[in-house]
Amino acid sequence: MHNAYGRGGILNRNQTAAARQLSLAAYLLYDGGNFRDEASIRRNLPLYGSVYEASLEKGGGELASDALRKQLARDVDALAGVGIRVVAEGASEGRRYSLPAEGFSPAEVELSVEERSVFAGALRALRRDFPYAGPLRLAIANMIGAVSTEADEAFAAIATRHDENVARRVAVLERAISRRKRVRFDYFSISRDETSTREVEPHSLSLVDGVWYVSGWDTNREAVRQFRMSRVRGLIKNATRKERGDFEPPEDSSRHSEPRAPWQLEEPEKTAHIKVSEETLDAAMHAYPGVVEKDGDDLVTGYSGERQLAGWTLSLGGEVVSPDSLKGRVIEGLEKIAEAHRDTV
Amino acid sequence: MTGGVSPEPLALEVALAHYVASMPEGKDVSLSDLAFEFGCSARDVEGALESVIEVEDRDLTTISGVTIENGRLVKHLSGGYEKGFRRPVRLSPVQGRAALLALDLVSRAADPGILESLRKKVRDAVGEEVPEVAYGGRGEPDAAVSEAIDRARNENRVLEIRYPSGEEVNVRRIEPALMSNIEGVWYLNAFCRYADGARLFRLDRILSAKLLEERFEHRPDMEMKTRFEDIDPRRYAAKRAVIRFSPAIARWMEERPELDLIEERPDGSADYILHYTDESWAAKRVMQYLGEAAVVEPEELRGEVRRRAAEMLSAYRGRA
Repeated sequence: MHNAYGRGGILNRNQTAAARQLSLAAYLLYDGGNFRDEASIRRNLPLYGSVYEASLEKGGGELASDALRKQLARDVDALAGVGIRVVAEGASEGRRYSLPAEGFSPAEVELSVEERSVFAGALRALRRDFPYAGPLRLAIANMIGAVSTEADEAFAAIATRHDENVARRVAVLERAISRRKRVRFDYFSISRDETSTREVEPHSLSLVDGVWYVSGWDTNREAVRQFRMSRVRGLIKNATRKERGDFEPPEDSSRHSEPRAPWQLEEPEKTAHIKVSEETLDAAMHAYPGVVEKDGDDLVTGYSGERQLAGWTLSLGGEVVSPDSLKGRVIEGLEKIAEAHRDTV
Repeated sequence: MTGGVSPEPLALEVALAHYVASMPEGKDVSLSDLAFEFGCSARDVEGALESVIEVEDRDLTTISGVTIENGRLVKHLSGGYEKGFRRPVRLSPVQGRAALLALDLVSRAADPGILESLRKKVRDAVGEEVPEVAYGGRGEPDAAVSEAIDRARNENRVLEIRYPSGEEVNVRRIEPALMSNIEGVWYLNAFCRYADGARLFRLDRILSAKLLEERFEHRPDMEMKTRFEDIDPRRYAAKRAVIRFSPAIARWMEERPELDLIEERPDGSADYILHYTDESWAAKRVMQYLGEAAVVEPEELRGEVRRRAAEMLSAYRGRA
């Protein structure tokens, strides 16, 4: 078998795979979007040639073509995983591949000077413990070239309390979400004052008021739940040994990627109308997009947690219009507040 | 990057191939600088570069035109990557999420029009629907105030703000310099002409902001506060109250950054300090606990909560 020798020595398996995938992208791109068949790929790209030859020795031409086709399918997938779209058409023997320029580059890519400086500034502004710093640097390198961070004047600074555990959990969950892996972790439930093991199919991450959350399907409770990352105890582990694909992503993913409002931790079953001031309504719609809507002058939101929504209503200085059960909960609360603050003088 | 989100397999190699294709002939750069630029370790960069360099054409000639020599990447010749890989590269889903979240995080400190156009370009660059990291916050500052600050910073114009200090509200002329978001709360670093020094203002405490015609000169040696350690959010509140939380909810309060525990009581209730400037804001904070929280002191805040509860009760009863 043809071994791949790099300038620094023998490449490991992953390095060879990356080199092979890059060679495919470079070859097809160079060809300006024309289709190339498998025979030209293996003749022109030594790393594919060696895949073919290795099988040829074992089982002849048909097996070798088959092995090459499977390898190409995996490599096309790997390229798609980073956004590069190789087009494959035709079946078995006649299969052909191309990479049109727009499969490699986005259509509109020119960034204005101001847009560049927003990116460069964001990079400067975000602290080193920003969990997405690595991918952000690659994104910027891909869109505008590697940015020297001295180039631009700082315009903002974003800081969170330094917590490596949370950053590590974000990294693990990010990977679990993209591979659709079910995970298991110990979680401190503050409402029950106890720690229990939860098994979750993670759907999305959110960052609200500087606090990280993960939302997903809790398989034991059979409901969508939101977990605060600082309440996770210990390590987050994979629930199965599969590489990927423990679950199907939720159909309505936009619904699940919104920050979850405290009164919607379970599926909302009722709808509330609340009268608030205009500025309060605007701020509430901004803070909970997709959760809070406007109906005339009223704020409208679905809810399952009556106590949470009653509390939020009072924090807004709002008044419940409907339903009566929520109104009753607020009145009960107000009576308790009045009792607790009785004039003692 | 330690502990952070790692890019997808192949993402680093693609970004480096693009970089290599864009290098002019004769240029060289140290691997450690590259590692910094690409947000990973020098070893990761070297491993990925070996893959980039390994790519050969049919004559077994490498196409990159670069070599690694003594810890530096050296470009000798224009190579086969040049034609295709010089173009900007599509973003992977994780890169798209990273870029969109970064834009959300700086959203209060940048022009909304530019942010919208950048968001669109990032989404187009990924090409597929990316589930984004949802971003939100409760303490959104007043839009008119943010806009005035933004313009003042861009145009170097003096800003006149009304800002509470202790019991009174001062009118201050300031030269805004830098916005900082610390734990979800926005602050403005500015030179305050009233105090004759650098000051930090909490955005949601700025009552109003007026843009003046007068221009200011940039002050390069002004000290900025941008780190959590620099800022004690409590310093930006003028008054303190003692709030008693019932045993039913006392343990929830440990996670609230605006509260400081002073005493856990034998019956399971707990007393916390709440820092505030605006009485009506503080009253609403207490009332949201539906009677499970009560103001111990000061009497004015107790009175405010009492008055509000009575007023709302009579409004509900009047309509019943």
